[in-house]
Amino acid sequence: MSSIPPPVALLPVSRRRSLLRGLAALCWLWPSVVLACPVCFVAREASRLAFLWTAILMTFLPLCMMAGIVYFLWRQAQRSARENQGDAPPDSPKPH
Amino acid sequence: MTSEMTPALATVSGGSVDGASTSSAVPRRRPLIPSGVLAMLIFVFTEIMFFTGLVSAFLITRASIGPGGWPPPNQPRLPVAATALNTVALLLSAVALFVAWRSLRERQRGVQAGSVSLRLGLAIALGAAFLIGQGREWIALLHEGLTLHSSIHGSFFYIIVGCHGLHALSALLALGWAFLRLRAQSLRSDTLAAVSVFWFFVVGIWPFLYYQIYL
Repeated sequence: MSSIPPPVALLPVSRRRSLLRGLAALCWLWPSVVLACPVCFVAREASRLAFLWTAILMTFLPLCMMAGIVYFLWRQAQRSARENQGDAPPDSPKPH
Repeated sequence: MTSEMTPALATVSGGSVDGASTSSAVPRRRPLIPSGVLAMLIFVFTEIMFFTGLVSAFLITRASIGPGGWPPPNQPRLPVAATALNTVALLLSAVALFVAWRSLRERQRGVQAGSVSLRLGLAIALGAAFLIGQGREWIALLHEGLTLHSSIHGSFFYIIVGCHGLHALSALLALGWAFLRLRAQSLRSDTLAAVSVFWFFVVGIWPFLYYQIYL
C-alpha cells in the first residue's frame, strides 16, 4: 500500500523553494503582532518599550560604572604623577 | 587601611619610607584610592544592579497594565507628602555626613576644623528619622490593607522599598560604628569615607525609587 504524499510533495521543487521563502518572509515580517517573547504577556506598546529600555539600561549600566571607576583611577594617577613631578627634588630618582 | 598593607592600586612616588629625601631611597607606594573605598565601590556597583533589576521588573509590570490601572484602584494610596519629608531628611543626612568627613580629613591633616562628632551625629539622627518615618508609614499602610500578598502593587512596594530600608538600616549601623570609633579617637578619614560611600548610595538611589514607586 503506497503512502499518501504530503501536499507539499505535489508541488514542483521550484515552487517548494518559493513557498519556503514566503514562509521565511512571513516569519520575518510578522513578529510585530506576535508575542515572541515568553515573558511578553501583554502585547502593548508601553510594555514593549519598557522591555527595550530596561534591557538597554541593564546592558550599559555595568559598563558605564566600570568605565567610571577606570576613568576616576586614571584621573587620580595623573594627578598623583603631577604632584610627584612638582614635589620631587632635581636629584631624586624618576618614578618607575 | 593600615600603612603595613600593600594597596592593590598604587602609584609610585619619590622619597623614602621615613620621609627623608634621599636619592637611594626605596620609592614609596601611595594608593590611588583607599582599599576600603574601592571595595565599597565594587559592592555598591553590585547593589546598584540589584536595584536596577527590581525596578526593571516593576517598570515592565506597570507598563503591562493598561492606562489608569496603576496603582490598582482597590488598594490604598502611598503617602507621597510624608515620604517627601522623609526624603528631605535623608538628603540632609548625606550633606551632614559629607561635611563631617571633610572636617575629619582636615583635622587629620592638621587643619583647624569644626566638630566632627556633632556633624556625624546629625547625619545619623537624620538617617534614623528617615527610617523611623518609613517604619511609621509601613505600619499605616499595613493597617490600611496594603500587604505583601494583597496585590502586585503591594509586593513590589514592600520588596523594593523594604530592600532599600534594609540597606539604610545596615548603613546606619555602620555609621553608628564609625561614630563609636570617632569617640574612641580611632576613626580614620579613609574608614569614614568607605562607610560614607555606602550611605551616599542609600541616599542617592532613594530619589529614583521615590519617583518610580510613589509618583
